[in-house]
Amino acid sequence: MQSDADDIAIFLETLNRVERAPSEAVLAGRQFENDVFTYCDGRYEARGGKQSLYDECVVEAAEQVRGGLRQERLYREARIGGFDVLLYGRADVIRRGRIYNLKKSRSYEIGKYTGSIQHPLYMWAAGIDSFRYIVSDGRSLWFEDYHLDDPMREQMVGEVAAMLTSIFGSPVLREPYVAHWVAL
Amino acid sequence: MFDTLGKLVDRIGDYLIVENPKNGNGKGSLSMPGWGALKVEFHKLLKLAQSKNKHLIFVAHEREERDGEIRIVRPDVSGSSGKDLVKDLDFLGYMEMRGNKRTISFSPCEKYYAKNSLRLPPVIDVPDTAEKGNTFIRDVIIRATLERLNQDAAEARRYEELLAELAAQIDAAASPVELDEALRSVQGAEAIWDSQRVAKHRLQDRARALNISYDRAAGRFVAAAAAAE
Repeated sequence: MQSDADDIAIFLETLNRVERAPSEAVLAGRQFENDVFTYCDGRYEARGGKQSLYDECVVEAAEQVRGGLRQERLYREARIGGFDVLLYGRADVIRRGRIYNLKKSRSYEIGKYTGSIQHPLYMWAAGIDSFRYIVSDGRSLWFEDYHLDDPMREQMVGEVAAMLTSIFGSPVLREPYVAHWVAL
Repeated sequence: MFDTLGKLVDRIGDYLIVENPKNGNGKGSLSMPGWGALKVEFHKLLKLAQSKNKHLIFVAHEREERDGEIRIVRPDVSGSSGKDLVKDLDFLGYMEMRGNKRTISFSPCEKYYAKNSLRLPPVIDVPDTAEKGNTFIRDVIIRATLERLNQDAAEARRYEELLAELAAQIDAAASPVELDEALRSVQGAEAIWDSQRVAKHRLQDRARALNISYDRAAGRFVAAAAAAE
């Protein structure tokens, strides 16, 4: 399990733009995403046998996102907490009026992503007010749907403002942030 | 209306074990294949309701869990079936008393997950059915659902028409000047959902096929030979 100290170390590495070797979880997520897109393109080779449940997850996820735009860049300039910021993200898929995010997770509970800043930020940046997480543990597939409303947007803006205030309030964080993330 | 979802799932489970003992684990609960059968049976129920043009309402008690300091409530349903069932629901609301008012919220928050596909107000007061009649669900949820479905259908039609119109102009473009005109049409067109993005991708593909590139500095398309100079 990751400790707070680990989280801070990772955050500092991100602020310093240090390249990290992808974790096992990240690699599994990429594999799932790649399999879904491969299926959409008609090139997926079913694993079969004990992996047939995984195949079913891939097929069900692909049916959700087939025909959508992949890896779309999303950005929005905004003034938040007295800072001019560029909010940036990359959506796995945008299809018609919804953003889709593919997740591979060891476990899942209803509302797992409710507290995530990803969906409000992506929806606001893209100007699209519907977001679906497609989550698989390799045996089952679940959806988690969100729609952007004012309370959700206000909370996200507040979190971004709090994060920027924290960064600028801490020399340890401020220095790498200004060095690597502030546009002059 | 099923009151409660937890009891419904238990009853379906009992039925599945009677129907096929392999669905049970010998202790009165479902086996692994039994949970799979339950998911199928629940889908059958949803399809049956759909085929009869019926709306289904499931009432569930809450089950409290903790994530560190945060108290999270989820529908109280046996095993892992709750998360499978929630996936198939169009709406998920949390009902509670706020002061002396009964309210329902379809907006997810730190305490619970909810689905608000209708973009209903974050918190809705539930009227006293004894005074106002038992029409709340019909008036607030079902009517809004039908309106939303009609709006979405109309939006989908406008989206398809818009994309077809832009695609025709893009596909007919055969020169940098015509691609510039097509780009201006895309930029000037109404934005419906991802229409701007889809049209711009099509424009890029068309330019690539014609061996034409976009000169960002000049803000126009140029033939590849001219771009190389």
